[in-house]
Amino acid sequence: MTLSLVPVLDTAAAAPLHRALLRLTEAGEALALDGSAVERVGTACLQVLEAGRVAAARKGCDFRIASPSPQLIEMATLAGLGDLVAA
Amino acid sequence: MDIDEIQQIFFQECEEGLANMEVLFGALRDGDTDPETINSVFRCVHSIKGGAGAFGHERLQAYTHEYETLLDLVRNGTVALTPDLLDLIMAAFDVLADHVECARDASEAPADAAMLDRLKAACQGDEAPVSSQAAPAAVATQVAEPAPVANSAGDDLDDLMALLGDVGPADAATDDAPRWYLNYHPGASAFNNGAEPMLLVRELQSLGATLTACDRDALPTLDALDPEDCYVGWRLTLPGSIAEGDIRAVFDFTDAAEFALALGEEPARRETPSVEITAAPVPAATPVVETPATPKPVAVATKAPAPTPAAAPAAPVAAASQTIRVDLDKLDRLVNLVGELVITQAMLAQRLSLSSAGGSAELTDLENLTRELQESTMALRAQPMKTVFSRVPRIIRELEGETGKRVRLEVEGEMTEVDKTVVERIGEPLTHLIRNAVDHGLESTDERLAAGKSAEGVVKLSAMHHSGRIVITVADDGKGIDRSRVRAKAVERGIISADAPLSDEEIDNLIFAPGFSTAESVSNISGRGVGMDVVRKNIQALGGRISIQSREGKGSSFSLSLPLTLAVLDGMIVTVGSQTFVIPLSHIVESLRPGEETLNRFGPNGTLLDVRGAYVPVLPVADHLGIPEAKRDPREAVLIVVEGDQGQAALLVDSIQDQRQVVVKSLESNYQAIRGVAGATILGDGRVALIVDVDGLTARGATMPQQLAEAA
Repeated sequence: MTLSLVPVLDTAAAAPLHRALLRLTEAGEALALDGSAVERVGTACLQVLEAGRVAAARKGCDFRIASPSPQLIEMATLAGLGDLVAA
Repeated sequence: MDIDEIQQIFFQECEEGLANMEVLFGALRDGDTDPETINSVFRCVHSIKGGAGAFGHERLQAYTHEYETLLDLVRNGTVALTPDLLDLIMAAFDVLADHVECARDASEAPADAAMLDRLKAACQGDEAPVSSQAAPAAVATQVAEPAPVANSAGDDLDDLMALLGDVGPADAATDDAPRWYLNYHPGASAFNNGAEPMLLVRELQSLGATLTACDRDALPTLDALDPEDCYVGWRLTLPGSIAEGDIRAVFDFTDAAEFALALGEEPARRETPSVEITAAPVPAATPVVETPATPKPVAVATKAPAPTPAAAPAAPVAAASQTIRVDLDKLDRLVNLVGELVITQAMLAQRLSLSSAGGSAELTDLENLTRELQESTMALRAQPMKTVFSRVPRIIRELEGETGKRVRLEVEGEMTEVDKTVVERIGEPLTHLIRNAVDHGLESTDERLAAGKSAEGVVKLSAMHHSGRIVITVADDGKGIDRSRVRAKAVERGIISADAPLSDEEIDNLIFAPGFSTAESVSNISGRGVGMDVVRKNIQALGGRISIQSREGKGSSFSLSLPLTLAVLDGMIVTVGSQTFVIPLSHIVESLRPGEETLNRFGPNGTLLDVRGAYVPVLPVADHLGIPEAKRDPREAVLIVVEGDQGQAALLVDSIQDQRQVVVKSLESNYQAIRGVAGATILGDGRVALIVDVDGLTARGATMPQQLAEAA
């Protein structure tokens, strides 16, 4: 199942995103995310995504953000977390 | 230090920022095209916004947010800085100053809706900012949780997204040049109040920083992660040519423990926030510490075991700060102690002068050292006039709006320093003089053009040190004082008789007479029922003098001469009976031994002194302060003509001892207030001498004719 990221990934969005990723990893599911709708993203959500990526790797699951929006790519790159959105 | 104290520092920094902005606006107005200028304006606003957010001043934060957005578009060239836009930016600055004032006073924020609309409209200018990008198409499944609500409009994330694309790659610095290495680890609470640490990273990148890595070692596993806490940090490098202060300024409102800056080599990597700054001049293997106050990055190691980022205690060596804030009470205590030392030194010198040791070299050294110490201590309280002058452009702008006149302000000597008390108390009289210069001094644009002058009037404000005093001048190139009108008005008001022979200077000085106003109609600008007499009174209360120079058709110039400090004053030491008094020199016009022909009896006990045709009352100090065995016959005494609130008077004293600088001691705080006495001082021989309150004495003297009338 693909989880679509909401357009605004600010600090307030970090907790819901965290819970969603936690549920998926605990269920042993791959983290397939859709980043096409993201207009704004801050550090809080980026670090949740990064923690999700690491958690998935530990469990041997896939982690992928499909169709990242230009804003998401730009922010992740700016934060030095470009591998989150690497194709 | 509690939160209120920290907040006070924030407001002080706001004041400094606002003053700095005024200076920058002056430069922009004069055609300064250096991008750094508008950049500095942006940083001032950004700092205020940061503090406003931290202290919960939401309206101020929201306002600065819009203001900053526009400034950012200007500094990155998206919106061109036209003269009209500069006017808007300066008008917005005035509202910002009001906002800061209201936040400080905890009063209701000013009405800013109209200005916010104008700022937003300006942002939308020719090229729409990035925020207007079309939202991507909606997607099928959203995150299972309810869509999070975006933070308030003041969320820093807005800024960050708006600024995307603006981040240029760092300047390709030459490989040989040493670079700054910066580790930035925002604490766990970095997301509080909608703050976005990436904004600082972006700010650094706009300075030319290159991100080398994102430190994610401290990032816990997903299940242990608190999404509201910040765990990541960044490592960046910047060209060594960037001033250290500019880099540190980015972190103005962050904990010093959150970043580490080093030149020439990378600060040691660490898990927890800490601070260290190293200034190694070259990328040498040995970390050469250039600034003694800055430790090597190794210092971090001692802090590394700290368990949580926020718990890191104050860094051993924070930013190599150039200034230190000191409680004013502590400073005043120091000033007071040094005053005591000066007195003790004088006493010692006087005592020793009676013996053979009087002329020893050590005594001379002590005297020099004491004087130097006193001057250095006084300098601690000194502040540049800039803090006062920086408010003037706004006053001028308001006056331009109210009068329709065009005014160019020229400022000189704004870094001239003077005692803090003088700086604090000079503002009001200076404002009055500025308003007076624009309202009464400068002609209307039509009149100026008709007189062959430029349409724009000039008001020149200057400050300089002269003979141990500060001289502040407010000059205009307007019409000058219309002496015939001043004279006519003074006659009409009964201030002078119609046939009084007056020099030009004396006519000019009539405008300081109580109740005098030359305005045809009292405007709400300079005339509020208070006139230039109040200005003079305020200046005199500071131990100062005011003088006028005016040329008809060419303009007027008001000069204020003020003491550099109020802690010492120049006084004339006089004897009255067995007592010694000090008369402040600033009040003294002249001293004389009267001839019989200049004395005129008036009533049973009164005497008037004829000073070149003007009659001034003779006030025996002994009578007013209750001193027995003093001289009371003016022919045997010395008369000191003083200028007070109520005009001139001749103080009758036994003799003049000396003229010297004395250290002022408050009578109120050491004993109690006494009418006719302004304070006290301790003389070289250890005796206390009272300082005469000239205004108080002459005011009491002014009631004498009435008493005489009643007696008669």
